[in-house]
Amino acid sequence: MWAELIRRFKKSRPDEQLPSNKEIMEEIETIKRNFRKQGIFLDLFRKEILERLQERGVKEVQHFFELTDAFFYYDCSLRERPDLSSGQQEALSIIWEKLEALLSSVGIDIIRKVDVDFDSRLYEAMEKVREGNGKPVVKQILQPGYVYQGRVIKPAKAIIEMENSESQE
Amino acid sequence: MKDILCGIDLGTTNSSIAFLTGGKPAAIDIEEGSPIVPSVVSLDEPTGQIIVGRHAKNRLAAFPEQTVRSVKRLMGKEMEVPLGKRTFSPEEISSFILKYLVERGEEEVGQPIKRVVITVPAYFNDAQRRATIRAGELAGLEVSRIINEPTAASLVYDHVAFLKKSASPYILVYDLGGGTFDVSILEVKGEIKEVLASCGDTALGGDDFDERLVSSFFRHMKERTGVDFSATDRALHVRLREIAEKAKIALSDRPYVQVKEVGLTRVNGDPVHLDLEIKRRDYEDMTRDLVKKTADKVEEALEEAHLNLDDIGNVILVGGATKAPLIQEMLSGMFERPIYHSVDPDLCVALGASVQSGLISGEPLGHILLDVTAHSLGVKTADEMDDETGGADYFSIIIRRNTKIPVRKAEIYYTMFDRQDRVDVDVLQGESRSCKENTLIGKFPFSLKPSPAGSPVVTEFAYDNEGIVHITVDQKGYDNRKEVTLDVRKREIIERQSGVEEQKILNYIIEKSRRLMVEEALLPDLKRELEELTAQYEGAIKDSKDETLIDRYEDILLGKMEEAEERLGRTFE
Repeated sequence: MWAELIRRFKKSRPDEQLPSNKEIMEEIETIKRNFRKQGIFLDLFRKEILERLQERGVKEVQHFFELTDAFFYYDCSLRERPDLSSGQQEALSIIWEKLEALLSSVGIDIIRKVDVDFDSRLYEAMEKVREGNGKPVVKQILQPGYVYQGRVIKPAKAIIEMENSESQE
Repeated sequence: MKDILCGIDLGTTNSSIAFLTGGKPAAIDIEEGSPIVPSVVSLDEPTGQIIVGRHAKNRLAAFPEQTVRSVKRLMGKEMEVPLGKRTFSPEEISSFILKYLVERGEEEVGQPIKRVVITVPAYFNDAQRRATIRAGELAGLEVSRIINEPTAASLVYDHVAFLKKSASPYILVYDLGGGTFDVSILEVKGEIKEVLASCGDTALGGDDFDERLVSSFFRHMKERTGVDFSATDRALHVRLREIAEKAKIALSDRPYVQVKEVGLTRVNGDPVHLDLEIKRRDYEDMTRDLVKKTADKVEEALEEAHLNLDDIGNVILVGGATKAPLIQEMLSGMFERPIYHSVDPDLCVALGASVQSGLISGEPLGHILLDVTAHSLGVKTADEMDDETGGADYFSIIIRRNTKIPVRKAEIYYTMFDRQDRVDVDVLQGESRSCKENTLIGKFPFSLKPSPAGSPVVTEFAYDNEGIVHITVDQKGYDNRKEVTLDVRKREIIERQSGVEEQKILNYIIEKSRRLMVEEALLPDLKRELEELTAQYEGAIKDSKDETLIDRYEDILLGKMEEAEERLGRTFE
């Protein structure tokens, strides 16, 4: 088909028979039909890619959140034990480091820091345990929060206390 | 730059904003990719800055004196709301929410927003409506109109393509939000929708359903440990509420959910975990009385409007809590017809308000196209038998008609005999309880491993945008499952993956042609030609006519679609 068209437009030898106009029109129609079919295929392909990109989002990393939540609560329950040895504590810290590195590799940051200034973008205050005249500080995490690809997917639920100006100084 | 028309759902708990784009309403993402903004306002005293939305909600417990929520309940009252050392009127507080929505909306859409339609509950009096207009003005907006929330919700459904209009002028709007329940009855009088009755319960909402699950978790923990935890353990309660909400959402689509949670609390130094399965049936038993309460309110509204159940044409569901199957079943039973929601129930009030803004300004409104299932889809079960043949004849619906696709839903069924060796999975579509009156679209056998009668078999349907259903049948607890792919349009099981892809393209062409057909700007002749060609093409595929003929029909149809797109001023893709 392409050969016919090219032959029609290039300079031909005098003995060569040119295709008729009807043949050319038929070929153009065939090309148009093929372009339409390709267009439909590309359209569908693009739509599927977009859908898959949307699906990858938070749903895809949900299992990371669940695993991290489970380890967070397990860690909390262990740390409350009076007989937790320093070796065991160290082991928990090492696992946290590895887990945070894993989360970071897929674009997730966990929000679980305590003794930091209360930031209402990252933390949701659930309870205030001490009044004061200073700024609020995160004292305990009830539930960890997550930032994924720069978006706060879930703020950490926290207990806060107000610092006193004296302690600020 | 031309400003855009917007609709705002100024809610008690949450607010949202929608705009018209190409004559179609769309919600605007405001915070972290979400269009839903908590209706909470907080004052940061050191800087004097007003904080709105999720950040303000997060500050509530930290700065209770500087933060206010549910200000909508105070609208129209002559009072001052303290925020720290300053005071504001309720409409000033509401104006902060409106301003925040509009400013974030402008950033997101990249166009100015000056004129808005704001929704209010049907029961709002004149003073409350005036206060809402004032809030808009304080936010620097021109309030084109104040409309009732149920009216806004019904406006969206007026513009949804493919939905049949009812002959009855009466519409019932059932609105179950997080903390409140409202039911309204509207009468359509030409272009006007009048509220005939409105009642509700300000202390009933989705949160009450969560609390039932929380109580069941407490009972379960007590059974395991012997300790009563339901006392005031704040951290435990916060966590259980979150677990309950997650389980509730999962139970809307699945017949059961596994709850596995580590270290909820401690008993004698030992961590207490939660590891249980919740069946939807059990959850529904826990919440049946709450659903009954709403049914009573529906009856009350009907009485107030002097109408019977049969008089109601359409029933519209609003609010996230209406996603619960029990609510849809209750209403379907009451009104003796399938009740569903095709538009996101959390956003349909804001979307409807934006439709109203378009009507006011005379902007041409297009049909709202939704990817929904045209028929209910389910399987044959032996819950009812055919009198003539004595065979099973009950159509058990898994995906209801007009459900937004893509969708994934599962149901649980039980074997009838000990050591039953197989089940025949007959997949049907239609709306009748009797399978004989519905259309069989595929059937396949599923071999069972030896098990006692009453063993569960979970059947899951995943319906995609191209009319392909991926079916998974799982003999629960026996590591026995089968996956089958079915083409609903062609009514056949697709054996090979390559066949699926090919079928997707054919279905996509039909889908695209249908979308063109509902374009109002399309000439009637062209529309008719498209309809005929699509039917011809679809018929050829269904009848499995020879490939050359299908190919020829496809060429003609694609050519016509190209012509239609060109007439509409678009590039054919």
